[in-house]
Amino acid sequence: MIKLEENWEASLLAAIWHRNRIVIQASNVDSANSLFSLWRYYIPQYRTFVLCGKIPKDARYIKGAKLIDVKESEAQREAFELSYAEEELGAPPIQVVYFAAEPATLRNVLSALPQGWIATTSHPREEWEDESLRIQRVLSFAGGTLFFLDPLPEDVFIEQRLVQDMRDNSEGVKEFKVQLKQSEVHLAFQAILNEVESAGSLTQSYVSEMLNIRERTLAKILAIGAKERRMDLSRYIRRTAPEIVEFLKEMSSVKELYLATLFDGGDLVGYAKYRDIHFPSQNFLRIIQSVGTIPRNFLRSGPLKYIEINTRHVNILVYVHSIVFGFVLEAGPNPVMIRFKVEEFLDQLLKAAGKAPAP
Amino acid sequence: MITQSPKLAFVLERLSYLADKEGFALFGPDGTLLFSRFEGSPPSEVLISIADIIETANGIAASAGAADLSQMQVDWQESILLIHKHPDLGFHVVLLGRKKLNVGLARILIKEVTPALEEIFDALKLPAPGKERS
Repeated sequence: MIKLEENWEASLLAAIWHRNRIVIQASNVDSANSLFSLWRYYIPQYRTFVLCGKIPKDARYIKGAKLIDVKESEAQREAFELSYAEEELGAPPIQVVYFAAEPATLRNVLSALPQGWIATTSHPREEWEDESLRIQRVLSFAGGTLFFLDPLPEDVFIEQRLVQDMRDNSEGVKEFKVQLKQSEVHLAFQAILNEVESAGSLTQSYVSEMLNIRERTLAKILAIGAKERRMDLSRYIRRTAPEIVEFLKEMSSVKELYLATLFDGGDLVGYAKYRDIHFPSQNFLRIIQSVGTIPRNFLRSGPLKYIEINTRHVNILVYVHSIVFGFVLEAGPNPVMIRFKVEEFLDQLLKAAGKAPAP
Repeated sequence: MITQSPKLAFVLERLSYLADKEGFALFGPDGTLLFSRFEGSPPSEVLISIADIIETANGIAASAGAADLSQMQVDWQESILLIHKHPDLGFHVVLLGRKKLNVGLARILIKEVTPALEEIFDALKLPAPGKERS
């Protein structure tokens, strides 16, 4: 449960970012509109603003905004429905802002949109609730109140970090940081979508490496993307098996370790970067492929078991079992010790997975 | 290619102490084969494959923080391949052995014959990595 009072800025940012429905209420419409202007930079710039109602002058100049000038509720509703439907055809997500909304606006117009609208109003809470409005959270300021109509997103760690990071910044810098992060998440979702379209399905480890993100950030990208693009990509991303997660956690005790990866065939099924290093995991498969070019009939050598590459700074280890394990370690005086430790972990993992290591 | 010389005879004599060795080869910094001696003569594909492994390992080592390859070991169930790269001259010493090959002893012997290999390599007048010879 989110304590809105403690993290209200992060929660407000999250609510807007996740396209929650929000009513901004103040004693008069101008005050409500001012509150909207104050937090407008929380709305991602890649969204198309769709403005309606008594649109204030400053809002009319929002770049690329579509103005719905018709007065009839039915025409307004149709215009919203059309704009929302265009999202499914690839149009950018819309952000509807209805200025000086009446409670009846909810019933007649805004109910057409399940998400992505903000209304400003001077009408008190009771009048909205009379229209069967279910308020999930309330955030009160001296100048007005925000009513959140959808449950607030539970995981707001990105928003919290962002708010913390820009606490002492000017408004311009705050806007820059918010928009940068939102664009980054938006583009990351697009990259995942492109990969899913070409590959069919992906592993969580592959996406983590590709975008250099952790599991929690991936979940956030998918959650926001699901709202923005109305596509649930999580079903196309195979989660890392719990025993592999456990193994990767245990490996963190090897202080010399930079990177650990696990492959099942060509699929990256486990990935953990413990220290900063640039080392594409595909390198492990490249070296296996290269070693595999030696004609088998010459070697009479049996299956490949292990590859070790030593450089001045790092040791690269590849253990070839039913799963391929690749590690990058700090070059140390006794890498044999590390090798034994790694093999101990491998045995545990393979036993747990019911795959006894080959003798 | 390297032809017979007293230095090469010394190297081969020292390496002959190594049990379970199946072959020895010397590759230049760019993966060119300079010398090879195997039990039975290996098909050229084997030497091409080893050159490819050397190139790949060097590429991967370089991608891991611009660090030079120093050595490499490949274990199959029944065989072992050792590659040692000279830190300055960049040539690669390659040893292929059966699984009982004593890797520690092999490394000591490679170190022991390295001065002789340096002289052999020097006589070839091949450019070391990043250097042009007059």
